[in-house]
Amino acid sequence: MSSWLQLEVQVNKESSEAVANFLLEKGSPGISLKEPTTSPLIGDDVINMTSDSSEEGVLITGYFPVDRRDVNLVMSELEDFLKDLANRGINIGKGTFEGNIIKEENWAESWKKHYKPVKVSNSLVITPSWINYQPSSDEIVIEIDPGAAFGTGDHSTTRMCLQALEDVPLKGKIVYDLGCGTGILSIAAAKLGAQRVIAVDSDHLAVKTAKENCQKNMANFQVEFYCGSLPSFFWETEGLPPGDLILANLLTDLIIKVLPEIHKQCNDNGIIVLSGIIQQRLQELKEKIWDEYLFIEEITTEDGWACIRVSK
Amino acid sequence: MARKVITVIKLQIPAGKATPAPPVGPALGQHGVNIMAFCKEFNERTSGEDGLIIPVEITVFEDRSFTFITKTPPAAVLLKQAAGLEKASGEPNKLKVGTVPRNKVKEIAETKMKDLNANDIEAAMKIIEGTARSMGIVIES
Repeated sequence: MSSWLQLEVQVNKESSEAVANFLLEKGSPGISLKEPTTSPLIGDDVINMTSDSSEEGVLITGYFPVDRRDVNLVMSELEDFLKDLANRGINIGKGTFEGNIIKEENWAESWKKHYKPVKVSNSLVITPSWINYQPSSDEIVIEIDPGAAFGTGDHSTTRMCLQALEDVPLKGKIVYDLGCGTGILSIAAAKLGAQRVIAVDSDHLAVKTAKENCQKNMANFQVEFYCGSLPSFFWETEGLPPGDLILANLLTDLIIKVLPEIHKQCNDNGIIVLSGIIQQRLQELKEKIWDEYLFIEEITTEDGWACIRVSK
Repeated sequence: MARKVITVIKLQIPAGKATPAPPVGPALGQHGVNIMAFCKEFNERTSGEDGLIIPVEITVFEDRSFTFITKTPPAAVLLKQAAGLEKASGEPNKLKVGTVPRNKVKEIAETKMKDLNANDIEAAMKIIEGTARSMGIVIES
């Protein structure tokens, strides 16, 4: 198996473009960059857990196939290039580099080692499709492959929803899955006997993934999908039936915004499961629920997240 | 759904040509990101710009799902285009490899404005000029 020279160069912002360009021109098939990040990443629906670094340094990594490049030459050329930049008065920061040989792996497959079947509740088991899981007689298996949509069952907010789902008798019932992501909750609801599941997400890629996952799990007959924003989905879509169970695994702000519509859409004897709530905002949400004259039946918490089961 | 970010991976790779080989494989694989799903989606989104180096920021969430945004091409690539160069100077101090007029630098700064950490166009131009200098490209007034 062939190897790669992994060349990590520590410079500062001013010279990072030139160094990145140097590595690309020398034949690196691409580069990766690590730099301090201060901006919000992709919008409001994200809780940023990355810490901002106060350092100005940028770590640029290039890769060179050992069997096709003279790696010693690449390193000596890099050394000359950095010296030259410094001589010219360009601030290169640390201006250091380190080369390591890494073995070629089957990267297209090796990421899969992070995933195993997970039993998320008494009966539900989530497994990636490449593992042939043999369920016991009382287990229900859902195949979900991780990808661009959120919801692999590997996160507290999803897991608590799945556990809540299992506790509601679903035979013949109508279920809403608001913010469906991979469709994991819709599939679980269908497999637990729901007659009709209405799954909504604002991200068209999530809807596409959810559809595929439903087909894979043979839940596509019960589940129908909508790409739409909340709460406007409710007043823009005609003929929506009242829900016996409404699952809203969203963000706290969105739950607060959409709660009156959820309330309206919920059957008189219906259940609402609210998840994706940061524990610090639990009290605020409880007050909103009381403002709507809804009853809190149960609150579960895990890893700083809360899930609330509400009835009318 | 609510999601927590565990890391942000920044890459520069050729449009339409992402593969599981480095840098994509080692960068994403260690976080358990579905590499083939990323490559497919990236190649689809960037098709039509084949071969042009595209910076991409991949945000990985706690459950290892991901999303990404592509950015404007690196200033170095745009400067080479403007100067009609294939390669920058390996020794910018000794070798001037090309020239770019100042109005072109302004154009590049405008293109890159949204991706640069600059307060105004003047600051953005200064960053682009710095890159040009470090590549052996002379700015003509």
